[in-house]
Amino acid sequence: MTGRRSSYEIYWEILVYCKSPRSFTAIINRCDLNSKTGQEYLEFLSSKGYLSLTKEGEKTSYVSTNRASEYIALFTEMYQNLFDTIPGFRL
Amino acid sequence: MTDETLTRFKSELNSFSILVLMNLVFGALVMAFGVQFIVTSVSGLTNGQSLSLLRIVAGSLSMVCFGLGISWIISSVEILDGIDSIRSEFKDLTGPVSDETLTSGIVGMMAHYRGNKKTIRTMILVCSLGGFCFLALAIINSMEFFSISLSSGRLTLNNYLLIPSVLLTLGVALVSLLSSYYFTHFSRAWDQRLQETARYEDTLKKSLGIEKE
Repeated sequence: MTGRRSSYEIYWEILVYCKSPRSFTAIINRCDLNSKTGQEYLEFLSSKGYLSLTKEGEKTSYVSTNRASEYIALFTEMYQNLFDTIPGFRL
Repeated sequence: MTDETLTRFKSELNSFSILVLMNLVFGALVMAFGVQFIVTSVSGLTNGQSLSLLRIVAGSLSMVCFGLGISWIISSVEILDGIDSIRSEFKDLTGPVSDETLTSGIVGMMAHYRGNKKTIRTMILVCSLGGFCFLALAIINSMEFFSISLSSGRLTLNNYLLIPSVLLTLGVALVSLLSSYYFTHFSRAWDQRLQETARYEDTLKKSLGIEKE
């Protein structure tokens, strides 16, 4: 996804994508981030307990925790609400 | 909630795509009209017609319209580019859409609006200016080929072939002004949503303790 996203939108994208274990490269590719900012986002989410690191041999993957589900649910509800409460645009 | 929200989201996406596509077509028309008026003004001069004030004004307006047409097309393409990818994502989906897919579309549209807010503002301005320029051109052109006799109060049309051209110019002027109105309407709805998301971000920050340090 391109365009100008807020940090909270990027958090949501990462957490949704990491519902199944994902590698660092897969995450930054999917969420359209460069490695520096990608690392910052992942470190932040891990430090808050929204992502956990799993290691299988040499492979390190990130996976969303149960705590992340709360954030995902709240975010989803709020953003969908934008179309229910604000009068939309129609030709 | 998802079904209703999805219907609203898709309908809004389609309406906006149609508006931008319509603008692309009319942008091309505006550019073509601009060129046509410039050529008419120049060819009139080479045929030995006098350089009247009305002709100078029409020529200058034509050049403005040509420039506006180009800027109109570029802005439309920029906006359409982002919308098309979101729209095709939803078009290809069959069956029920998950909450996450829908939210992903909403986030995409939000990011697209944030990124193109300035272009949309330009579009509103270009459409309004284009509309008024074409309205002026239509009036000037009809003045050139109508003659009014003050003594008898009769209106005479000197060249019937110019009626379609004047009508087309008026049509383009009307569409330009309508586009400006709809873009303003669209912009208002999304500005309101942006404000709302800023409020949501506070809630997300507070309730979940997510705050970038």
